[in-house]
Amino acid sequence: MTLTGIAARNLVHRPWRSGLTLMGVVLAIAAYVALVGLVRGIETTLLENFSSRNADVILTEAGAADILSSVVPVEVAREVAAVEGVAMADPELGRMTTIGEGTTSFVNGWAIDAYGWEALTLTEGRFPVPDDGAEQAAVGGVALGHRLAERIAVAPGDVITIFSAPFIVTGLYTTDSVLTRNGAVMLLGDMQAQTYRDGQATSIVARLDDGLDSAARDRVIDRLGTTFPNLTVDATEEMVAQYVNVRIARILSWVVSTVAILSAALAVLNTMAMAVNERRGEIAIMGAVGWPRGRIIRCLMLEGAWLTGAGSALGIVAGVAVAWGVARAPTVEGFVEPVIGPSLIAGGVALGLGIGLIGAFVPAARAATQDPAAILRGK
Amino acid sequence: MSFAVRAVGLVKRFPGLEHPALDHLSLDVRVGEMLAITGPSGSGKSTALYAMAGLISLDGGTVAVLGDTPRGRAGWAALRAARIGLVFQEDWLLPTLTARQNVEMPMIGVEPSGPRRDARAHAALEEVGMGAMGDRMPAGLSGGERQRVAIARALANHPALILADEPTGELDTGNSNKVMALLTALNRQGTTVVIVTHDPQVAGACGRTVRVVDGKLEEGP
Repeated sequence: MTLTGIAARNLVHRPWRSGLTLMGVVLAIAAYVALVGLVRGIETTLLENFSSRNADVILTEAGAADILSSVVPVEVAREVAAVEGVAMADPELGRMTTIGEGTTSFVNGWAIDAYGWEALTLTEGRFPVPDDGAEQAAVGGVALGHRLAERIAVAPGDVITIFSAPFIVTGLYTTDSVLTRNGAVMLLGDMQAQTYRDGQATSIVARLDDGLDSAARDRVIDRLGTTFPNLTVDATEEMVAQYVNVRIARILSWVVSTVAILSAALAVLNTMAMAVNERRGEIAIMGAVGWPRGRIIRCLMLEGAWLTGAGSALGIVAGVAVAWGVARAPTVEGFVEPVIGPSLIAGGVALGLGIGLIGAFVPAARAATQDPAAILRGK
Repeated sequence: MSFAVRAVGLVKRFPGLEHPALDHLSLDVRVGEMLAITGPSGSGKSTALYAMAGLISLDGGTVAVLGDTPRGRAGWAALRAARIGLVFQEDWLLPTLTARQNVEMPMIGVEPSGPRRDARAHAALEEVGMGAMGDRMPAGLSGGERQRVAIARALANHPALILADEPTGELDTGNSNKVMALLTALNRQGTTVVIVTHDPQVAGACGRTVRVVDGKLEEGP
């Protein structure tokens, strides 16, 4: 018989209370893992959208709330490419739109010679070229990510509606980016025509010279900032981190997680306080037979540790399941894949143990300082 | 002459009570003695016993147990674990543990080997005639059986001193006799036993009786 065994028996002895408290911990940890995993997924998805094609720097309209509402003249790309340290720069027009029967996807418009095409691997057909679809009364061609093509069940040669206009599917591609795999790419001119943005892009995506160290990259970014004072110049990862929607999602996930975790801590505290109150005699006898105060506290805290240990394990499993369930929902699929790595799982375990420590310590410490004589004499 | 307990000038006041529970009470208990402490309800006899066990903080006086004068809760806890067995009017068995596990409880932190703890718990239960009931839960035992398990728990670490507070208070005559027979047998084996009791028969089974009245000692016959 060990302290751990005694703690486990005490929990099993009160199955309903222990079970309900366990559920509280499971919900808290699941909420934390799912929400933070999804937000990290959103950040990673956005980052991959640029990093998968080696875009190092993004230039957007200064003051634009987000990249999609930014307006940048296309010709700026040539001036950006001419700056020392910039290897190439392309205009990009991005829009979130509905494709087919209510499937929302991210559509990119790229120039025909944009370096972004290199990051896409064709699995069927070809990339769009000017005058695509003239024979089929379409306004242009579009290449679809293979995952999007699966979801809306189309193949090269099919005509689909994008921006309320018919486009012929010229090919399917795959790529490392979730967003792009679930999206579509068309020629910049076709997209500008259909979105009333002639001569405009939402951003200029620049690739820097190879072999630049961190300091040299920073110098190039500073140079671009000086050269284009009306544009915001960000390293890709910085742009994603500062993206307002990501920041809001991050804040919301932390608020919800914190509320859930505090609730679970209170549930454990309540359970332990009730358990301690009911078992004053048992705790007094532990002291009477010579258990030091630390051992009594440890024994009671082990109950909290059992609850939160099991709750953390189940909560992590539940959180992973919920996060992937959300990511697979039709309205969300293609925009995010949860990122639940070792650090997030370690965070979940640490939070679970924190809940146990906070919830169990106070009642345990109070119990261990009770006057055993009065309790044992029934006074 | 060596003493199991030397209590000198014990004073204990409880909040809200006009008179002290212990009023400069002094008492010596010799090694190997079987002593009964009697007295009317509220006289302070149980308080004196708990003072000897270090379970209450005193407002005055000193207690030496088996030559040791522990300081603080930790010191008293260590002394109780190693050398003092306690028996109460209620058995206070942990309801989630079997009889044997209850007996093992005081050995946690004293005897590191699990199998040895188990064997010693079994031996202690054998000593009180409960060897066959080690796997029973407390709820499945009678009041007398539970009290015998509580005595086995007090014996777990082979104490030199047993302090018992009304150990037969909730038992019928048959079980009361069994418990007293056990304590008497332990005393014959050399264990010092101090019993707080109302029962003249229990006091009569002890070698010496002292009476506590209003927190002070009155030597008995």
